[in-house]
Amino acid sequence: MKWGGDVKKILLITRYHMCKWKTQTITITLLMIVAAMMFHLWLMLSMDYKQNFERSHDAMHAEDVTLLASTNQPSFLKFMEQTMQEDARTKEYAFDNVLYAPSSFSYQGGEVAVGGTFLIDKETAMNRTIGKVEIVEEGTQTSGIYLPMLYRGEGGYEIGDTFHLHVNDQILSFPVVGFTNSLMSGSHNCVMVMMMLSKDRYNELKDKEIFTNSTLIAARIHDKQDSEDYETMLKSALAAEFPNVFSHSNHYYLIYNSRYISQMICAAIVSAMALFVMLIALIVIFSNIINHIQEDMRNLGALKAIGYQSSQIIHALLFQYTTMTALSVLLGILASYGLFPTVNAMMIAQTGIPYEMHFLLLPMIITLTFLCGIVYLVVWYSARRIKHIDPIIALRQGVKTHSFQHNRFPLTKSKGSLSSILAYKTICTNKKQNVILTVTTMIITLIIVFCAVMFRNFIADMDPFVELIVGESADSCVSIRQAKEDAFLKFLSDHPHIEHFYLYSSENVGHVGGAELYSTMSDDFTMLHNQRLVCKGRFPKYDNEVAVGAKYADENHLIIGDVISLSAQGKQEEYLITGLTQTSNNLGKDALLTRSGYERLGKLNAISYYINVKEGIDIDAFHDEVKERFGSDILLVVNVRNTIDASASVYISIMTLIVFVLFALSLIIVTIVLYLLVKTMLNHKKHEYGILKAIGFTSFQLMIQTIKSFLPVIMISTLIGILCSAWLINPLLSIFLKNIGIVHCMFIIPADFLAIAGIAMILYTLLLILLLSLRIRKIAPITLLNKE
Amino acid sequence: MKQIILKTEKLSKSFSSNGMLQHVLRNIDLMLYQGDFTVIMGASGAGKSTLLYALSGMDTPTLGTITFQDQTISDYHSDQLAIFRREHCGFVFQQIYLLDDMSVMDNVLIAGLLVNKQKQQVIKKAEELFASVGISKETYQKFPTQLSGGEAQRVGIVRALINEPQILFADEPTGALNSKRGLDVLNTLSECNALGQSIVMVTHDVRSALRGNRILYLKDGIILGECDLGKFHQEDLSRQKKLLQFLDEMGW
Repeated sequence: MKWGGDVKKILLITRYHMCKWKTQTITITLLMIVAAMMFHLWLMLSMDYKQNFERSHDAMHAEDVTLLASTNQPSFLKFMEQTMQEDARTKEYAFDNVLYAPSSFSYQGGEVAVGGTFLIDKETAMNRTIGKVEIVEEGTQTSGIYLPMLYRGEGGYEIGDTFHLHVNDQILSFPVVGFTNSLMSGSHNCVMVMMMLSKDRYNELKDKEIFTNSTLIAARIHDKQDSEDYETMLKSALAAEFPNVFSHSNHYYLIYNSRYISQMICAAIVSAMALFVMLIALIVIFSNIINHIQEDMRNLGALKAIGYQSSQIIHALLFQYTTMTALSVLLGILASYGLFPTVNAMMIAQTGIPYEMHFLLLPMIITLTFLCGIVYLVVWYSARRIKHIDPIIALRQGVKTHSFQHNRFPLTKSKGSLSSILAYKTICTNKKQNVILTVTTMIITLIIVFCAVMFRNFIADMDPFVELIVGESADSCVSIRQAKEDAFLKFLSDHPHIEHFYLYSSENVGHVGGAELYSTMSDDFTMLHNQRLVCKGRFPKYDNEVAVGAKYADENHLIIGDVISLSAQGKQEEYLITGLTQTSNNLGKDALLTRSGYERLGKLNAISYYINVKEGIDIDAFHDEVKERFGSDILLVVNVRNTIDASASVYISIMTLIVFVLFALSLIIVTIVLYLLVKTMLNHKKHEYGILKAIGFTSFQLMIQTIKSFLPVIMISTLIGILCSAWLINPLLSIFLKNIGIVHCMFIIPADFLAIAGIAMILYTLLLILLLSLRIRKIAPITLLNKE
Repeated sequence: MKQIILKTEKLSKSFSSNGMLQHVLRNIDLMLYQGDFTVIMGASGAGKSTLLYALSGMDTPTLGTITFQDQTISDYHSDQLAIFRREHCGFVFQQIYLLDDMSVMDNVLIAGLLVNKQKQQVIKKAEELFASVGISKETYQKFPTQLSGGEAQRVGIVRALINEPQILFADEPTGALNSKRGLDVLNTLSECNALGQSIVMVTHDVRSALRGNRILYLKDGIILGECDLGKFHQEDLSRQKKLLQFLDEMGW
């Protein structure tokens, strides 16, 4: 009976609270829905989305290490088989014949060049024991090419389209007959791209000189953790025994991370946003309960006087808020499922790995438990002061408490207009309002700065992002046989359309005792467009110097001044570390060497030049001219600008959506929080405004006074928020991007944009306060007098 | 001949409650004169406070007109009424309504600076008024909750007088005070009136009503009767007799 009676009482109080604080209840519900939606989305992305790779990896019996070698000689096959058999880490392996040639193709309206493009015939591919290939879509036509599903739809191709593969100076055209899912070679982010051909088309190309009959080695090992070391072992063994064989390779973790870069960035942003919204919701709940206790003091006293216990009142609040949170969380989870297909479609455009949305119990339980739990704690913490309310005192005095410590801004001494001084007085007395406003503004400014930085560095101008992720960009990249290098250099020097050019060749170099480093060689690094490629120290200048990836250096406890041994083509030499680089190539396992530095180890396999043409010059026309002049001596021409644009489009679309969502959310949060603050303030000041109106203040004067009471806090917190955020944004982003090798972000902070954004935010909030304070017009002094 | 400062014609005020129209004031024709201490009396619910707030521009009538010095204030919108109140009216409330977050001096200056931007003049005026109602300088920086009821009401009177209003409206000014404090407040009001201040006061307290020279008796929304008591003199016992007789006639 007692239990039933208690529950009834609690329900009665809860109903009373919810009816009296309708707006606050709705506001908190909305904030909680948004927080739960983002929190759950983050958990879905981080707990299951990336794990989809592991599931697919198991389901497709995919490789842990893949190596594409430009030979299929029996001696090579025998050597590699023996090497793998002798390594205890090897679980199983397989060899397949493929056709290999560095090539380029159209993607997302641009041209993407992939050094490790290989063709495989359908029958071989479908019979692979390791690294199974899945056909995700197939047309009726049987002769043609199957592309990785990354290139389907928004990637630019549909079944029946014609696919053009640019190999050296030839263009090979195939009808697209289907799309495949290959985990380790299904994207140009995987170092190598597998394209499956129907038997007839494969046989047509098999004996053509432009392709090298090559071998695709697929290996599974006992422990995936060893995949990187295993890859290094294979490449080192290959380089030592067959120095002239060209190879591309990847391993489980490289693909695991590189195919999910956007997912990682998106999850990090969503998680930060979820925490921000949750923080704001908790502050609002805390402030709401404190206000409730203050404003409802007499009623609380009355409840106590008629026999309600403090614990019952507190339990009613706990019940109200946790129930409200639980319902909001369920709605938020539902909303996240509604939003997920859009997010999924964007993610697939970058990962190229299909993901089927399904119900996830664990993220739901965590979201529900965490948010309800934290709300419960906040409510309990803020409501426990109800225990100290004495019913008699509460009934007699209500909320009439005052510290009597200071009469801030006395009218006798303060300078300024009456409304300004009254506004300052309000600022001094509304400390909670100021704290909520400051915290909210700071968070919103951080989001605005993030949006501005992303807009400036991703959407408006991609170059800063490209410099950060790729390292160096140019208009064109041309690879030429070494024998023709001098003639090519003379051609470039004499060419009227060339602005400048420099050697920019890449080779894999082994760090003895460490990992394989993706190394870039140049004659003179001062020619590079991106001089911020080295984030600490300097570029290598002499043949005994090297700059290594900052992330790699950190992981391997290397510092500037250390001497490391590098190996390539069966030789090993020592180099002094002069600087630390950062790009996301090879997830931070990078190195820079001078050409003479590399030549201490061996000859460069490919001589590649980065070329910048003059303004307005057609890059493709220049390429045609180069091909005509040098013919088959040209190994590869890449329109780098097009390639970057093509690869970037996915990131741009993801980032545009993120920026849009963040911006919209910021507006919603600012609106909700200000609505709540102004409404609470007006409720709080209703009595005071009634008196002021009675003695002759007009509604307009009180509205101006209200705006002025918010203005300094908004202006100061916006200014400080923008300055702090601008100062913190690069270090913060560095933390998020550390995993992909970016340890020192140097995104351009658009000061002009931020100044405009800051002013716009102040104006928006002031306009909002003005609109919300129109309610002052409804405060009639007579109502106040009649109620007393 | 007394000068009219406020005049009503067919002043009516109705409230709608649960779909029922309640007529609180009915066609009141009234004139208030310069220098008078007019007292409005009547039983609870007679419409005394409603009439006071309609006259002072705190509330708007449902029908009829209110004219103040040739201006029809009953046509004013809320902000015009606010300006009218600040410039021409002073208010003393039963519940005093001082602002708790402000010192005594600030409570007065907030009204004074609304009309007069010359801060020093306003401060000087406030100090004079404080002195005249017996509020010491030590009290200036106190907060309202640190004052006794009588002190607070005298601060309220100072606030009402700071802009030298043409009419001082007082709604049961002693209603929340004990006898001693109430007497102090009444003395203050009488002194103000003696200096020429027009006052309109609502009360149901005979002792308070004796301070007025003109008594209006309100019943069911109409002025049932009027009594001229003449100037207030502390020792004049005939005024009390006259008032009681009047009230008796009115059915008090």
